[in-house]
Amino acid sequence: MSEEVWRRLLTAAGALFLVLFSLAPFLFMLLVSASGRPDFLTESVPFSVTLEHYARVLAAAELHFPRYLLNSCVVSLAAAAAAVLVASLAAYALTRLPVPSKMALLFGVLALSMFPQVSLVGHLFKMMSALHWINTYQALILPYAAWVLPLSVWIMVSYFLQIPRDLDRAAQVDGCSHLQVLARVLLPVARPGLFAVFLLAFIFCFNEFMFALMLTRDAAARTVPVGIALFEGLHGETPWGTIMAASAVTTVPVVAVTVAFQRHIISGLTRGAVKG
Amino acid sequence: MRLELDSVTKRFRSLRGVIRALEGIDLRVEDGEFFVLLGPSGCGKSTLLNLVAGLEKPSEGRIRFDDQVVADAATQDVLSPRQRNVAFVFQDYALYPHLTVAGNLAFPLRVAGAARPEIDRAVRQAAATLEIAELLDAKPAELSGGQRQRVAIARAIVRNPRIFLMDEPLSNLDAQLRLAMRGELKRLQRRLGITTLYVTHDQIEAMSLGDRIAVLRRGAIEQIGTPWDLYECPASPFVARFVGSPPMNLVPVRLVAEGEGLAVELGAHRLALPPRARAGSALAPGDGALCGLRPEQIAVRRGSAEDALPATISSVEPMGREILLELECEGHLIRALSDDASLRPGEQVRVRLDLRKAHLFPEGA
Amino acid sequence: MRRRPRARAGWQPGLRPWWFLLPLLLLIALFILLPVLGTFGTSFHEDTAFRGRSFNGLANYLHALRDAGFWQSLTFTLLFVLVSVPLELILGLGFALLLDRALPWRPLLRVCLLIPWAIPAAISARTWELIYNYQYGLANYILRSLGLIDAPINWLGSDVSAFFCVVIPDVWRTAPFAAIIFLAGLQAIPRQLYAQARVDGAHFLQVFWRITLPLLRPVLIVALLFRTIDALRVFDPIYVITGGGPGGATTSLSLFAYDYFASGDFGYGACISMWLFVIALVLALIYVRAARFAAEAT
Repeated sequence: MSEEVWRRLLTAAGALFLVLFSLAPFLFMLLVSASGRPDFLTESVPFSVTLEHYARVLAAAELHFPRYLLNSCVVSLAAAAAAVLVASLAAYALTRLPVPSKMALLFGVLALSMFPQVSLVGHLFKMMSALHWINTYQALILPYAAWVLPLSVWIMVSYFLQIPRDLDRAAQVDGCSHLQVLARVLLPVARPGLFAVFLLAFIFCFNEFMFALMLTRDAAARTVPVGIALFEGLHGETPWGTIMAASAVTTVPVVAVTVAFQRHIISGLTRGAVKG
Repeated sequence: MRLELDSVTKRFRSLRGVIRALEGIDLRVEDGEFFVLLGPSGCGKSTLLNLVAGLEKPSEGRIRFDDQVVADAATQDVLSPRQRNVAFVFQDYALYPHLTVAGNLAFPLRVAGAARPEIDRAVRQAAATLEIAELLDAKPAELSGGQRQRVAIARAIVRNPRIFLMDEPLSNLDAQLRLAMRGELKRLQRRLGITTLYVTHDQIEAMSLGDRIAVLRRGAIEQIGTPWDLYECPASPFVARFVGSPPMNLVPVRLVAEGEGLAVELGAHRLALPPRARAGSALAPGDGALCGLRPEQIAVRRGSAEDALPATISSVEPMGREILLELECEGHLIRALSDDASLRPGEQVRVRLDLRKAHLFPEGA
Repeated sequence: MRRRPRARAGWQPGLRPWWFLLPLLLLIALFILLPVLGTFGTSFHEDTAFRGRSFNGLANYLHALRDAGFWQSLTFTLLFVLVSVPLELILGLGFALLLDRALPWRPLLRVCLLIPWAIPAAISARTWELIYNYQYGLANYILRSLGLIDAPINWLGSDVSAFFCVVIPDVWRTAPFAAIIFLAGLQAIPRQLYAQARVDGAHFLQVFWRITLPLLRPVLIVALLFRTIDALRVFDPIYVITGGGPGGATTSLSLFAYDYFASGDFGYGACISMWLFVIALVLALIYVRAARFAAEAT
């Protein structure tokens, strides 16, 4: 066989492996969530399709799942919105205003993301306890916003640097104050970047686990990852169908959003190019 | 509006130390005047424009619009661009890409908080003036270079600014369009009667547009004058070389006494200097000087003539109506214009220098 | 004079930039720097929920050196980094090279890469937990169907298998992510270089070693640095899948410290997280040094 045929075969095999590798666990999750019994893999039991797990996840009051989902959404939306706002202001100063030692500031902010989360969580717990904020939204929103800010600032700066300086000089001559230049010219022009930062910040907050584990106590503020991680059955038997249904209900929208806006996300990630 | 700059200096601090962008600029632009700042890149002309716009503040000196001080380094009183009511046309047009043409024109009025009907009227009027009414709903990305240029100018005139500031607005257009736009710009400025400060590095553009021109070099003004002044009486070798195309020849010569007057010594030749060429120069016999002669003041002939210098043609460049010759004469390279199409490189010729219009600059100027 | 200009008009430099930076600096100071400094301070104290707080100097740090649990979790964490990071980067580079070719389905494949990253780690970890399940797990089912094993294996029961049970989800989640970063790096390499190399008669392996890899090196180094720091603080999948077991064999330093915080021992937990921070810092400095050295050497 010629080299070209070999290369084609190899490429096809690689592509197949890539698809299986990245999708298999996700598909397995969907499969179990819709199956009547979790042990369908053992040959004696036939596979049966059911929506009972989904019904239970969404309806059973003792599981609090819809509340977890709501908490996650509120916390992540608020933190992402705050991060975008704060990062835009900071990126404006860092790219357009005379700030002494800009680069040091920018790298300093980036270096903050080197701190392990566990080195914050103990003291955050103490802070939030002192404020009586444990198990509230704000106990998560504020640290989340701070936690995603380095990445957000980094990406916003890279988008702002692409906008020609003459554009905001034109806006200044046209009578804009600095805040107006930012709001009326830079942000609209950098809208794809703004959106990318928002999406990334949202996904990072939505996926966060350790802070939420430490700083929430029950359904009043607990987020979905913690809810699902701590999900145990009442009678010793782990309710796998229910857990997988909850996982599916949570991840399918996230995956859908990711797929729909993959271009924004990838462009944001490659500009950030730093965090996993 | 009258614009006055009073010993304005601008320094930038950078990693490599302090950079002097402008040094002691004194300038007065009269009401309704079309004033051009001409100079090579890096001469500080754009910085000067930014100072007038209020995008930068002077390190020293004062800027006045009529009797109003808009920037004073001594008292730190500096008006922002929005307080100055100036209009700026940028080299890359700087149209807002997220707004339509109408949105771009309306932008300065919206920021100023004008009423809707008033905005609509002003936008329509500006669009009509620049003949872009049919483009109002398009986004800048859909426009051609010439159309963008028109939109940028329309945005500048839409709110009746006190002064137009233009930073090489024509340099991104192709040659033909540039020529057409040049004429249109001049007519528009005449009609509106708004004081205009125009930056360019293109001396032809400067000559054809400007009522007066200031030539800048390394942050300082080399000469201010009408296009005719600059062409006829360049104040320095720099201006002489920079204004006029093809550029003036500058040949190092030595001055000698000849009777009551002076003569220039060029190699073994001695050419009497007509009184007119000496006017205003403090040159004396024995001084070295640069003798400036425009290519059209050098006549090239075949054959011999006793008052002409021998030269060798080193290149021939047809320019349409005339031919640009590069000649080797007494060890110097000289450019001359001729209409004799039969001249060939390598040919021995005679050149006659018309010293009546020669410009003499002291050596080392 | 129409309007008297205000001194220091608003657009001027001065304090203004700091107003724009204030929210950023405030949030970061309050919710990142303050907690880190607080943790640093606490690491020199005995600070438990029951007995209160008292200064004890370096006692926590010295105790850690004699603590078998600390050494076990330190060993595990370093092993985890040593195994998972190379796997992630090699696999990621493979995927990226695959996608760098003009494939008809490239956009689809690229989306597939985003999915493991987008799913919350704690949630996908639950699926992995089920995959490793002794009774109805996918792992045992596949291996038995292929006839590779006769009886199901208790994956989470032994040190070695439990180690790989937490490595695999991490590789699954981050290798595609690395691939996306590498792909961007690959696509920045001018195509003419490849064409030129082929014209010069280079085999595709030679092209990879002589052109692709050297030009990708900056991206590789950044990815290596950040993946290492990230892997050092691994927490989510371990908390969910093994809980640190069996017998503490898969307890990462993050989990080790977290467990002390969760049980109210803030002093010792703070000390452990400082150790983790110092290790991350030392590794980062070594990488930066090595990268600079390598850059100077060429």
